[in-house]
Amino acid sequence: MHPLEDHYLSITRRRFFGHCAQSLGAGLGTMALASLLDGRRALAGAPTHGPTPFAGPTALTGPHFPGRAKRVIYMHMEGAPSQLDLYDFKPQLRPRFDEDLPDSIRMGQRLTGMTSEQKRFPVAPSIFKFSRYRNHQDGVWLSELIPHTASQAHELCFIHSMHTDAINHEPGITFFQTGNQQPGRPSFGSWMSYGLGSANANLPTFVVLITQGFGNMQALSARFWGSGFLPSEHQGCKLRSAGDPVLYLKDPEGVSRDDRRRMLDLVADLNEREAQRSLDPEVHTRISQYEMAYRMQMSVPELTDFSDEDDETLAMYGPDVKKPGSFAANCLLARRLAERGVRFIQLYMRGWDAHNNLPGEMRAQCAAVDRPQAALLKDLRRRGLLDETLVLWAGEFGRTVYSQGTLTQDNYGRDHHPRCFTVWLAGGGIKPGVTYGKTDDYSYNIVENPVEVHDLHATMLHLLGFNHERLTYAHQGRDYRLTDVFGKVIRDIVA
Amino acid sequence: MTEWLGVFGRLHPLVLHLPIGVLTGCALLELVNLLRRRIGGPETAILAWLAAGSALLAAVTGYVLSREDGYSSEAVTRHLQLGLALAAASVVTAVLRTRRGAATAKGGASLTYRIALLVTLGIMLPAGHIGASITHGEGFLTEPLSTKRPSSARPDGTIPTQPSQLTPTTPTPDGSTPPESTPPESAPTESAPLKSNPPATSTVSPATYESAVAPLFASRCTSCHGETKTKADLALHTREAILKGGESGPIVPPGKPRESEMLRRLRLPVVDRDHMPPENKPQLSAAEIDLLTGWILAGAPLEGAFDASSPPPPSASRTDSTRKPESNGATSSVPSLPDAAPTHAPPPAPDRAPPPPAVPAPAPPPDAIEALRARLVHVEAVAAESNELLIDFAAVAPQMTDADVQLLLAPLKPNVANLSLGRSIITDASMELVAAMPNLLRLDVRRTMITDAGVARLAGLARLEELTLAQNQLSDAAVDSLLAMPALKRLYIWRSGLSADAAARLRRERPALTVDNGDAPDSTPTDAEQVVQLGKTPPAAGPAAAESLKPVNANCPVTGKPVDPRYVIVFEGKAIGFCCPNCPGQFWAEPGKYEVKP
Repeated sequence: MHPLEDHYLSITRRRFFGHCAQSLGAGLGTMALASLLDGRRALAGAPTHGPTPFAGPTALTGPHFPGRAKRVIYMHMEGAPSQLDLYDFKPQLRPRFDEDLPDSIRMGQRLTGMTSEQKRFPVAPSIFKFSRYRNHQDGVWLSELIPHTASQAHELCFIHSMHTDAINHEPGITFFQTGNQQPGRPSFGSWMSYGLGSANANLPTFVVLITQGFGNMQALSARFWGSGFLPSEHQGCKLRSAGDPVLYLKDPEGVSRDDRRRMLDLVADLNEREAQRSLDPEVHTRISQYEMAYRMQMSVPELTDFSDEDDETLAMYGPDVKKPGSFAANCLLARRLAERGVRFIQLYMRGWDAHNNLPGEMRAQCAAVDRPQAALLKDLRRRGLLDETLVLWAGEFGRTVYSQGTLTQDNYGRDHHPRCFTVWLAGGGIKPGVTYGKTDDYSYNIVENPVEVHDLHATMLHLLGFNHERLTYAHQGRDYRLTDVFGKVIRDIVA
Repeated sequence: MTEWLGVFGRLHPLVLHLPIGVLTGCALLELVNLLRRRIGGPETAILAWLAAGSALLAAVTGYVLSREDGYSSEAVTRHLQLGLALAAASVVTAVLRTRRGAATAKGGASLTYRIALLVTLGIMLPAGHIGASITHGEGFLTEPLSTKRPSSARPDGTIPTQPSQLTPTTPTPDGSTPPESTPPESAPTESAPLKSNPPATSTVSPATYESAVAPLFASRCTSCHGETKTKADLALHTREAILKGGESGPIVPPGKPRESEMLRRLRLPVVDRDHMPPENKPQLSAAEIDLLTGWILAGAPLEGAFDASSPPPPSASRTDSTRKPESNGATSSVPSLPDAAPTHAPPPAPDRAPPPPAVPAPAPPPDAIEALRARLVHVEAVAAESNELLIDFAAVAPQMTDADVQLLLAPLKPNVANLSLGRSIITDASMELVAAMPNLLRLDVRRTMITDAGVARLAGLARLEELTLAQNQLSDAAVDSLLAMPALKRLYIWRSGLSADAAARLRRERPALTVDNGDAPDSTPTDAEQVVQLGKTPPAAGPAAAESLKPVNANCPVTGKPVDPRYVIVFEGKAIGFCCPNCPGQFWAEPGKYEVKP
């Protein structure tokens, strides 16, 4: 559709629901409601066209078909943890310590500037002991670094055959979050917010929690949780770990809640006039965001106050749980957000970029995440939330089998490796206790069931009740999807 | 092009009135002329030609219309023939009128013209009458004379009672007394719930096809789906035709009301395109729809009695404002379909698809949805095009009382499929309301004030698959109620007050039920690597691996700032500390460049 034509259409719509409703009152109000009720059809049928008419955060949207999962907890391991030292067990590599990586394995694969100048690529087997844990297949070998996570092996679905197109952090994370390496597309959480709407009008639909790591850290841009071309109400809201969780949420000294209310009413009135004049849907977004902030003044302090958690629960998450911003505290917060119906909870754990000194960094990183993430799974399960909450644990790519820098018996580093790595999922209709896909003996190439990022997205959307090909948004003359023009649902990991 | 031809054909009902009026007017004028014995002016000639033209037009449009589907009966053929005859006769009449005017200078009306006019009128009457019968139904004209048919108009707006034929005294052919004795074995299994779950106030109302169903069809359906007109290839005037069905197949699958296309359309909102009878036509009452449901459930018997009492519909009153008050009465309840699933379901198959709705949920009343949203309660359709709702009180749970829940959910009882009331302060009183939600699949009442009595009220929920009772003050007495829930697949009882013994009993007696007591065992290793041997030969005696990660230095070798114990690497057997996560990388790249001072 021609953009200008589209604009005129949006004017007519707005005129109709705005001006007519005012003059005719209740009668047309009911019609407007009927159109809200029909709003879900926009998702169900043909691709939507143009900016969706503003329906507010309470629009009755819904999935295409009954979904297994109602929300997502996405634990992103920023920096890319090593699959070789956690999940992808290669005991046959141990005797090949310090041998050169065969060219038949590397096959001219491009390398980052950090190791392309290296004279040789010595094989660095993991120095960590692995144990086989019971799952619903013949067991899964997991590293001694993550004993608590391993104890939940019967809930986890490991994909050993993930691969990505990106080789550096920014495009890699952008790809995982938005389905495209270039910035500018909406984040997964924004698509969820757009497709499912909010389930808690007192909290943002898409919440971001960040934990600072102990290893080598890379930049974490706010655009990773941006809404791209979707209306900005769908962007992620970062909760800060220190001080006020949300900046400027508190009323200034001397301003009572009543004063705030009166001010908001006046501002909303002025904004409404502007909306009538300019017909810009972002003005309505702004009005609704002000209202959301007003309600968040009450709901956020209640959310972040752990005083109603019992000691046993707190202990399960580990001693760090009382330290705001720690991974333990953020996992507990994630459970509280899930309980309150927040659709997409994005956790970042920074510091996995172990180019050198990998064993030391991995020990510290794993000590920080292992116990809390296992506790989160248990806590969700016993509250009946795990079967409707899809949990994803992923880095943006994997790490190389050869050592970056000096290889010794107790130390090594690993470079970025996009050709294969491991992620795991749990809950929300995922088949529990299974592994999917295989890599070769060097954990360098995939030999069975490759899974690309689009496939992962398509599968997750499927579990959330969406046909990934029909969740679209028209922008710049075409319908965009999270999965672009790719992606297939991996039925084998759907319960 | 053919579309426009269709429009042209449908002008027939408009055009046909012209020749009727004009011919009648023409004849009346001629009658006046005859009585006054005077010569008529040119006006009758104009009228005669007008009549001829409009009759021709009516005939042509009528012919086009008759080519549409559903106009294939004998009556249509006769109407078509008479219409063509009428057109021809009126042309002849007009020609005679003109010739009379030219030929008889004295103006004496020619006898042939008058006869032709009379003949034309004579053709017009039966043609018109047959046409009216096609449109309005056989006997439309004489209908007010017959007192047998109940009037479809209910000016008082009350719920229509069952037709008087449905008296309990109607004997059944085999002499038994229905309905309790209607042997469920003889009927399809679908009828079992009728017996196992008798409506508390069920009235014994045996009826037969002849006494109850046929009159209903005759009064509401057969004018369009009958002998004269068979829209959509569907006729409801004979037993054979009913069983044959229409374009979309059989409409009364015996014993399977859920699959009946007829019932589906009857239940649609009046404004829906597919709703039957069409808007502005007399509608069926809820009781009448229930009667048809009962008839189909009983196998659509064309002979003998059947139990006309459907199970009681969900008590929610329908407030859908789109229904016309005269069509179902202001307080009529939602028509319900009986639960077609066996009460004691076999152990749930491991499939995830929820069973098809036992009671199709009606469209949720918009004002009830608005009320929920106004209180910031989340509501969404479980899927596109579904009337079943997911309702989540999470945003406002801590303030939600029984009264709030009652107020907000009572109008939506048949719609609720997935309900989260966790962390609210509701009590057993709300469980009574929840127990009346026939389509409930999942219920979360974690951390509320409910007791064993509240759980007991839920025992009748036939479709409930998942129940979350965690963090409550229950006792082991609730186990019996839980075991009585037929479809339950997942149960969460962590800290619900139920003991480990209770959990064990639940698992023993219902092996297919997943019971989570918060005691799920951790996965334990079955094999473990004892040592990690790198390389083919043991490492040569070199610098021993650092025994502890305690850094040997106090200040960062790169920046000179104090060491943070979190950032330690092992280099040449020594643990070296750094100030921040970025320094180890720099060090590692060129270890010789930096000096490690203890």
